[in-house]
Amino acid sequence: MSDIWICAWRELRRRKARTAVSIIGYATAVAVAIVIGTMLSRSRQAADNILTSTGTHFIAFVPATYPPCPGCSIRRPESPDEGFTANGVVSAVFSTELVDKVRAFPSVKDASPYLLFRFKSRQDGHTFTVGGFDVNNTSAVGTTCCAATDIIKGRFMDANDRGSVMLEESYARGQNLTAGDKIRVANKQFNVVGVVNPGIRPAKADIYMPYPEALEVINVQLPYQPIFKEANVILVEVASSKLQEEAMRSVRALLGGMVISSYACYRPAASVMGINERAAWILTWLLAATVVLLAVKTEWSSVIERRREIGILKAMGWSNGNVIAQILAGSVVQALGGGLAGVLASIILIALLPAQKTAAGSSIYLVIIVPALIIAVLSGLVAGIIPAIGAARQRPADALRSL
Amino acid sequence: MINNAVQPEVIMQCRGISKTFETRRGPIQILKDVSFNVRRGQITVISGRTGTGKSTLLGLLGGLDKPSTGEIWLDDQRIDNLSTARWSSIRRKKISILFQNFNLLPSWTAGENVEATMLHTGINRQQRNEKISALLAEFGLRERMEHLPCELSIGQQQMVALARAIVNEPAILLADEPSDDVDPQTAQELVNRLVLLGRNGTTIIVATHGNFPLDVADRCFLLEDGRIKACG
Repeated sequence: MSDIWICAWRELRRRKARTAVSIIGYATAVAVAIVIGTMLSRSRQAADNILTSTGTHFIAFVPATYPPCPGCSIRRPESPDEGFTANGVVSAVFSTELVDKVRAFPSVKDASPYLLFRFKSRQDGHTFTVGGFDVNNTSAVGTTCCAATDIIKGRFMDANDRGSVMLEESYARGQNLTAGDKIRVANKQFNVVGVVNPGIRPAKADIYMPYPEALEVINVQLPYQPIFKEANVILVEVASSKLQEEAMRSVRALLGGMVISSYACYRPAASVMGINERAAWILTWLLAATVVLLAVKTEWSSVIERRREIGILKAMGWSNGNVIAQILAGSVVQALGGGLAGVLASIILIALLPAQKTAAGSSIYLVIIVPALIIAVLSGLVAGIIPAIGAARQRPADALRSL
Repeated sequence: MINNAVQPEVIMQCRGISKTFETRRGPIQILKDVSFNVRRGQITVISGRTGTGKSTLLGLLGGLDKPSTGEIWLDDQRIDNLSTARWSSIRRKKISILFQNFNLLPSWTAGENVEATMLHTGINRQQRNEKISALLAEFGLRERMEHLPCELSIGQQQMVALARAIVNEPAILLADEPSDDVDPQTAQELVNRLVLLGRNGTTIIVATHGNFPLDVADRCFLLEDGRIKACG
């Protein structure tokens, strides 16, 4: 066995230029693969961080239809201008137990019940929406409804607030109200503790109050059919941007007629990530295939050059197995040498890249380095086996006659 | 020339050997129905003009090629139809070849060339080095062990080739035009060594077109027009 490696090493030393070219080829492929893999890994983590706040949440509601869907009910106040609303349409209500079911889906990170009701002012007849939310929930509520970071005046509501509301900025301006003022909803007066601008969130309302208080004021408008532990909107925070579609499917299947409203930008964002990643891996594999083909060509040329030499060795008593083993050993040594050189080069290159610190840290290298080395060695075997078998098959007499 | 007083056993037999090569211009028959015996420990010379098939015949005897028809026997075993693996074993242990143009490996040193026949035989490196060193010292080439063939004279190359051929102590040595390309002094040294080998029991078959002295041969054959006959 050691004779094989001795002879292989001698051959590589004798053909320094060809050996160097092969090693450089392998080193380049391995270094590029490791660098691309590392950059993709870092890029994916960075993209995930962005995608977490881009299109990983949605709201679910059921438009009011007659008859209502199983599990839903339609509650209509006396005034036709009032009622449960979502996305500009009248919506049905359902038990908050549905929200617990949504929260249990593996693709869902969090879910929260929400009441969105349109009121008509008894003073001047203008209509406004009241959003009743769980003040203790900052996950699903924060991304679909309103968050503490949306406050522009006053403060955000907390769990201890009673008889307090927050106003949406445009509504507050329209009604000439600000933090510290009072506002009447149904037959109750509330203190305005803050003014928020939640942007374009799907569960936006004019007036925000805690769920229990919203329930109370809404039931004033529904004296004969009050609601209890019910909601007309589910606020959903998805576990990952890549699970958005799965989460929406799961929620939609809960109730017939369920409508989902979300940002559509998650789709192009995720698909762009996928396209970039796929393209990078395709390029990497193409590069690896090119290196292997070049290595095969190099080994084949080497075997053709050594045709007479191999014939002499076979005339000396070398078996086909000895010939194959020596050619393969040389090819593997070149591949392994190139692989190790590529790993070193990749470590230097990655250190020179702009710092994108990741939680994974140095473990990225191990995950990619070992497979890259294994693939390099396998490539060496593949590159060497075809020329080796060809060399072994030739008759010594034919090889010795070759010029 | 032919010693009839001693009749050693037959070690090698050719029975009706023919060899035809396919060329672009059609088939060419080099050997036609060649039959002869080689006796153990004897020097057998096959002479003939250039192109009569001497090297081809030696190549068949050494298993480098297969005859188109006929049989070759070695020690009562037919060998012309053996597998490549069996032939490799025979060339490692029993039959060795000294080529007309030496066929040294150009990128291997003199020592490595001699070592080539000892690789993959289970002999460890130290033992190999000792044997090679001793043999080349015997040939006066100890100091040239690390030299490449291109750094040796023609005569030295021939001696390295001979060392390579005999380092494993083969039972049969096939020598193709051994004294052809060398100076008369080296040629004589070569002949002397072959005679010594013969005396020590090695069977030697020499192909020559006239430069090898026939008086040292135990048997002589003439190859003419592809056919063989005993020298008169």
